[in-house]
Amino acid sequence: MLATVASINSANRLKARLTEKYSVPSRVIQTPSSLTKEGCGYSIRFDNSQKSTVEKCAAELHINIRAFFREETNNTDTVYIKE
Amino acid sequence: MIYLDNAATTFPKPDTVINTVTDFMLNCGASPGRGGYDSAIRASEILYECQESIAKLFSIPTPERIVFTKNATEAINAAIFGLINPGDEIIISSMEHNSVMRASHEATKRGASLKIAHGTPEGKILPESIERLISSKTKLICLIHSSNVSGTINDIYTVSRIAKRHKVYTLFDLSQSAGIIPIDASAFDLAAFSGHKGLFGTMGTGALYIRKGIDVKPLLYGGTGSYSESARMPQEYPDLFHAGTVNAPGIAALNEGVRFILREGVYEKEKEITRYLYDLLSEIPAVTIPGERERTSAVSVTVKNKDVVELAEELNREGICVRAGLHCAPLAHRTLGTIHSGTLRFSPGYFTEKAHIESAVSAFKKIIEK
Repeated sequence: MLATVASINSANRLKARLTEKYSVPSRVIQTPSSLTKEGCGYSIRFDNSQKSTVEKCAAELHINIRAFFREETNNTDTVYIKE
Repeated sequence: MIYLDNAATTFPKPDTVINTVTDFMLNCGASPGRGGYDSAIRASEILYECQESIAKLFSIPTPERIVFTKNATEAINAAIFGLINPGDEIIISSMEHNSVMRASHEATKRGASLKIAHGTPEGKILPESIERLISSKTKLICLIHSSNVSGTINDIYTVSRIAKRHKVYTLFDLSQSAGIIPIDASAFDLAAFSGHKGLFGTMGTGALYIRKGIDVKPLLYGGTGSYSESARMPQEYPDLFHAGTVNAPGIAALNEGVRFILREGVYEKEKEITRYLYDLLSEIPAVTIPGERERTSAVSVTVKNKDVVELAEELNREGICVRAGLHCAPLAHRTLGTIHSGTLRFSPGYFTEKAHIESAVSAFKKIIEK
């Protein structure tokens, strides 16, 4: 799953807190172009089961998560489904 | 060589700082926030980690509000020109470096007004002398924490409380105190840091802390790697202040410098070595030392009937690095009564040993007794 955030700094902060406090692995990635209207955004990728933890962690850090996208594979393409 | 110009920039740097720059240049090298590949993400993490380290050292509650600049001067300029509008009043002190004095003077050309709080002959700015100047127009008080000439330490905590009572912002210049004495910046509005002095980073690094809730316009406009379709700067910190490629190897070094301080606890040693220098210099009859004994690492002296620049040159011939002149702080020299002569500044650092001080003072004595 992807959580899109406003900046790479927010993504890094979220990733670090998820690791340190919740032991939830995540990865900072560049947001796919199809998911961002503003261009050049960053997201964190994590396991679908950790969505509530990510929401809680973002709230603690006052980080605004713009959207969550579930990632599914359709043949060879990745499809993003907004949650 | 005996290096005693740590108030200008610290030397040597901790090995971890040097190794980190090399490692970044060899193994990372990417521009932070300018791509999704691993090394670009890693470079952005280094910026984040450096914010965290600085926040930890200075008890800053919001690391993301620490923005990187090329030096403390740029941080000060960003704060002044980002905050001050025509009609606003700025209060500075008579101990300020030209970074504040010239930026404030320029602000007056753009419609602001300026007042100067005068210091004691020891270079101390009394908080009440600032409070007396506050008017309904005052928007910002800029105060140097510790003088780069006399090392005099100002009570910025009291000034911060006074300013809050009057609903005035404060900008503290921590160039000479960060990494030299403990600082709790948790209640500060704005604070400017030099990265390459007491924090052991490389030249070309500095930082500005802007408390949450204070609106400061950026000094530079341009690409941030975020919100690229918008003609406006992103409002998120630190992106708002990070137009253009940042000095990532320098910030990596700064991070290691701050971590070194957190790990080693450098303050006592720095205080001790400065006191040792002060005490040895004060025993020389022809020498006058402006300021108090309790100070940060700048120990400036004048010598009766001697030109300080010539003394610095003679010390240079002995392999001793000290700085003579006005140290970019003419207001401070007027306050201390040394504007015509300038001073010869010795500034030890964490890596200065007592033997270095003894050799330097011994050479100095011989030179002035000639």
